[in-house]
Amino acid sequence: VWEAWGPAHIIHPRRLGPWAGWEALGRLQLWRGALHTVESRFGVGIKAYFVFLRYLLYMNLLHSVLVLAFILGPAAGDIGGFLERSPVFYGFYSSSSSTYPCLNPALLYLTGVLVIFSLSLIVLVRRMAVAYRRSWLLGQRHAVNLSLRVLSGWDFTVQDAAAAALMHGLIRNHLKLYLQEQAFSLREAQRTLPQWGVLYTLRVSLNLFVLSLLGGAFALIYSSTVWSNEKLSVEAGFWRTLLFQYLPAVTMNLLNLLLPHIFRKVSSLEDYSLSTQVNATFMRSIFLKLASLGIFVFFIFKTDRQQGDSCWENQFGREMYKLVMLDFMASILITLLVDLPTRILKDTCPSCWLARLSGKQRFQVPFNVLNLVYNQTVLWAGVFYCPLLPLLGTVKLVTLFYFKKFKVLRCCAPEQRMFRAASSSVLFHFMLLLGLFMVAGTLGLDPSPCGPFAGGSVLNSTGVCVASLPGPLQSSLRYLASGPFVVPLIMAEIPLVRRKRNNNISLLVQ
Amino acid sequence: MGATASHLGKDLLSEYQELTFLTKQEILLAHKRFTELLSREDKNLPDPRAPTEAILTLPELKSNPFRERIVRVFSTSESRDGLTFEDFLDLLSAFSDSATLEIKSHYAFRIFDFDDDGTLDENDLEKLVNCLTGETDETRLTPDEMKQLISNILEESDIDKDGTVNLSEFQHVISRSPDFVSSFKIVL
Repeated sequence: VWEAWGPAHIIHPRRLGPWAGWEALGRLQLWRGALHTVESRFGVGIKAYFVFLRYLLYMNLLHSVLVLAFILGPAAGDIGGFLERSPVFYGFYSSSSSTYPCLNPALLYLTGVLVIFSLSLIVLVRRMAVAYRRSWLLGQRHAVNLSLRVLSGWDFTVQDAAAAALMHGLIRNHLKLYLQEQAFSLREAQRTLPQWGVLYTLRVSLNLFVLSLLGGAFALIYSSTVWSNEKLSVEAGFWRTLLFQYLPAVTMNLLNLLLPHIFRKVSSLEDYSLSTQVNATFMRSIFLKLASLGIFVFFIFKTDRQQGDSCWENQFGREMYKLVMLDFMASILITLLVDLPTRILKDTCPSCWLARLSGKQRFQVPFNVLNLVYNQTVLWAGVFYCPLLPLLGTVKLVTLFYFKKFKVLRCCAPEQRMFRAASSSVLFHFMLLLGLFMVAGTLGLDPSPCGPFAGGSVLNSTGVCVASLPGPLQSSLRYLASGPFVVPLIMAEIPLVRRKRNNNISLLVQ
Repeated sequence: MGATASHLGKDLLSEYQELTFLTKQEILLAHKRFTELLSREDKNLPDPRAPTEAILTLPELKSNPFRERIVRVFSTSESRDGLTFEDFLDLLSAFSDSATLEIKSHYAFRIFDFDDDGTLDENDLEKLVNCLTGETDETRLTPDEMKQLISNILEESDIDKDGTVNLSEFQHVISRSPDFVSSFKIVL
């Protein structure tokens, strides 16, 4: 049940029993056929990227519904704001007073955003626990009966040519995965003590190298920000101003473009299994990306408020919107202008020096997941200041799915080496959680005179409501809002997941 | 037992019913499908034989990587080529819903025994794996992977350590597969 191994239930999930309902639900999942095609040609590792993308899409859909219910809905009745500003940004939502202290737009706005954040948190922790449990269980049963896979591997009931091709692919990829893992652990077991010593020295020094690269990158981003800020404060020509305005962003993007490739080379030297290599590259790159995003966001906050803008929230929302769009344009343009021409070149003239120079294209899972995590973090960061961002995110993810599917199926060569998705899946979600925590820190800064919280602080508007409630309710609400309560809530979620999820996990991760 | 090409006698029908795992409807359908595979001249022969090429075009076999082996195993002719109606019934009986694990695993063993020497040696296993993964160079396992896989299989299944998998060793492995009986099936 854990591994979709037996071809009999991949193509004909006919087994009855308590899980028949779950399987029926699984068949309703979006893009199921496309995911199967990707898996049969490229293996579970690359399929994991698409599953993750689909998961983020579901999450953004949910966010969009919440935005409509809590934020856009109440504002629709308020016509005054409509003519002045666009509902895309924070400033549009007014703080018009209401007769009920607990039903004002400000409070609904806050509730909407808080519900989005807490739901994301619960869903993520739950999903992570499920993925962790799955990888742990898989680790337990490493001894796989390969004879069974081969001697009773084919499903003779398959008639459709496409289904048969799919099954060939699935069987091949699974066999390769097991054989490569076995060969790796054999090699590992045969290492002598001096060899281990050399390897560990190598790993430690490579890690130090990575750390110094990260430190250098942060220092560079920080100093470019400070430096260009200094230059901007002095009067200068148009081009110089333009240059210094964009210098920090360009530095950040260049570093984010270059360093992950160095990290990939580094982890291939460390002689880990392929799954671990993928995870190590991913970890290192995501730290770089989230941290530089943090520095960037902090910088925008600072300058926006220094400029004394009457509504700095709008400005901030606009920046987040820009980041989402830039990332989107970049991935589409790369597919259209780099991947596609390379492919066409290879098809029309396979022996050209240019075609041979570019080599075989591979779908790099760590880099692509990296972009998804980054994108989701920006979406969360912006949702408070630009409430329609989840809608944009939904559209973006749907489009991205088709572009990436096109890229993988038409432009990339099938991998010779396979890796397991289970342990990576835990890591993807953990990094997403990290992004969520990072973003949660930006909420509740003291607002400007525009928007739903006009003048007063975010907590002020809740205070008005809480003060109108009877005494005991007030104190229990204060307790619920305190930190010590939230942590056990998260802890309580984990055993709940363990008990309830028993066998249905394969479906969730499909 | 000359079955005339156009219709099946009542006695013959009940005899076939006794000897196979097939129902009356299944036998009649098999007869109809078999007759369609015959050329016009062959239909008038007493015990006609459908050529291998015609049988391989059946949609039930067309995508099966073992289709040529299946025809060879069930053919009773000298050259192991083509099936008579009774051969065809044998085939459908072994692949039917009601055939036992013992019968199914016996025929599976014969299908996978590519050189017909009564045991699965390294060459048979290699051909079997190539059938599973796809025959083209791009889809095959690398020679190292193939070697590793075959040594794995022999280590797990070759109980008497003679370097091959014999019928009883094969049946021992198959008996642990929950899906074998439901997937070793071809129904018209």
